[in-house]
Amino acid sequence: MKAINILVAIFLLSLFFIAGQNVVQTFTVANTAALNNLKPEPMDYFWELNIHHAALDRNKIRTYADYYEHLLQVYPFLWDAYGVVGYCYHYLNDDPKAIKFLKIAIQHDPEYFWNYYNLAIIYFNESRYQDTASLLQEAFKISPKVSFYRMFKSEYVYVPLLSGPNEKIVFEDAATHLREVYQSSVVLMQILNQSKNSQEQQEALGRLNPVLYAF
Amino acid sequence: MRFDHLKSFYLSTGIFAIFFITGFLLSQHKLLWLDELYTQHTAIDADSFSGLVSLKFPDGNKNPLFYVIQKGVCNIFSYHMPAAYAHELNRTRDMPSQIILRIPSNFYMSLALALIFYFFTRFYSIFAAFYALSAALVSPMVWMYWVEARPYPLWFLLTTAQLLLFCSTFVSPKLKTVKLLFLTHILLALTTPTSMFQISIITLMGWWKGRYNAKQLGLIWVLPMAIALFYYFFDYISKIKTYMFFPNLYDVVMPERIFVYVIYALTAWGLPEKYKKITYNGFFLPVFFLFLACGFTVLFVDLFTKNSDQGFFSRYLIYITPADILMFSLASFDLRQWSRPYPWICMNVSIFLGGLVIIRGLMTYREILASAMYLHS
Repeated sequence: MKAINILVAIFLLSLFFIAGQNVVQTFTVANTAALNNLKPEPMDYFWELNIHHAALDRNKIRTYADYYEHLLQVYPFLWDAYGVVGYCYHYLNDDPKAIKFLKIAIQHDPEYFWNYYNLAIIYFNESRYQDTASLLQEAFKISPKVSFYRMFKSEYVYVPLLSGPNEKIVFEDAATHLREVYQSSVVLMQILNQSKNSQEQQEALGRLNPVLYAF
Repeated sequence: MRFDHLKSFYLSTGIFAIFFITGFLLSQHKLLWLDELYTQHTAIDADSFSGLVSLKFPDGNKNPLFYVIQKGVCNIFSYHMPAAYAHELNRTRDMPSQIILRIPSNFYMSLALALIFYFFTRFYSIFAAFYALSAALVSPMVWMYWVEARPYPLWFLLTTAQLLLFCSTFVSPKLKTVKLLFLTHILLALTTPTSMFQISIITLMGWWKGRYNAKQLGLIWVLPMAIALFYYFFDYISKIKTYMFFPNLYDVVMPERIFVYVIYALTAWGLPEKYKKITYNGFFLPVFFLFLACGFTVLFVDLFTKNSDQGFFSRYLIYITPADILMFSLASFDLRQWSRPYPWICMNVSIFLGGLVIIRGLMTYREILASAMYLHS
């Protein structure tokens, strides 16, 4: 009798297990469908904003944030996406959240220039110059080439964002942009390394207005 | 345990408040889409009250009740849709617009759910009320159109009111519902041309079951039909293409519920007399199937007679959902009632019916999740 009870229990548990797996699989499929519905169309706004300095449109940025946040809910190990969400939250006027996401991005994806740069600029805007300098220091350890190739390897996060007009990736523009930001970061670093709190440094810092970039 | 009017009323008011607040949260997370923007831009913002009543606006549906109420709400909040949104083809994010434009629809849907709850606490039991509410809340159409600045939630509310008023004459024959039913029919006629079918079916059923005398039948049919017909001649109804037909249809006609109705029909009509423990709810089965048949008739007529074309969407049959919710709840109670003398069968019937609600809930959740409707922040 006991054996029958155990067999019935095993049978029922197996049924629950199979049903549970099906439910999980079904919801994964639904989440993927949701991602397709959340995806901004066309996906060229960040390209325009970063490369061509298009006007800031918070509604559009919110759309990207929704998409990438949901992407992270479905695939929490897509570390590239944390950096993009952090970037979005900065422009949505929520720097604490931006810092949180950028820190996660740096922790799990340390070979990528933009995450260090973006977090450094947020700290710079908060007048945390010491933190800015140390982050830029870390950023410069990464070869621009590594960062550049890193972007184009990011199939689900950066590649769709890097699609410019007609969904074509313009490599030259992306490379030029990366070079310009590297150079301006070097200038910022030099100013930060000048004698602390000097009149000259304060004036130079006041003239700077660095902004965050998604890539 | 049945509740008296006052207790039922208080409980239902609480349910209404909870759902109304829920509706505000849903509004915040659902972006405005093309049809809502179009209706607001071309009809509500563009026309005066008199223009809305006198058929001047370009929306396909000319029945004015929804538009007049919507304009009233916009006037109260001094709201005008920003001009830039008029040409938005994609979804539009604008929190004040999302909330203000959806206040009426949120009110309609919350009230419809509260009415269902009231009906069942008043005439059945609190358990029945929560079961019916669950049956409503797992229906995809409720979530898809809860907050939608278009006439569908109003249509849902008025159909719910119409069916509950009709039901209550069977549950409690002393109740005088004719005047309220007349008012509901007038409002329905001012909301949608399809109300012609609904009004006629309910009148026909009232006549068949001998619930109303000739004068009362005339009252609930003649004037509402005249109004609905008047507006029908000015309505622009597109020819409907059948792409995505079945996925849309399953939002309204849920296969597992049809299965329950077939079992219900068998227990009601197919079993020997001694097993017929069915209560007074059997009348609702023909109502549901007539609603369904009329829905298909409308689609069929549209499919072959009109000129332009557009896809078939489940919202064209939204009025079937309140009938389905009531039918499913009533059929479930009757099946349980029927099986009560046999505890083993009763237990299985309860598990089966409860399981259907849970499975439908999961399916609806999956569908709403996949549509990403409420995933915007």
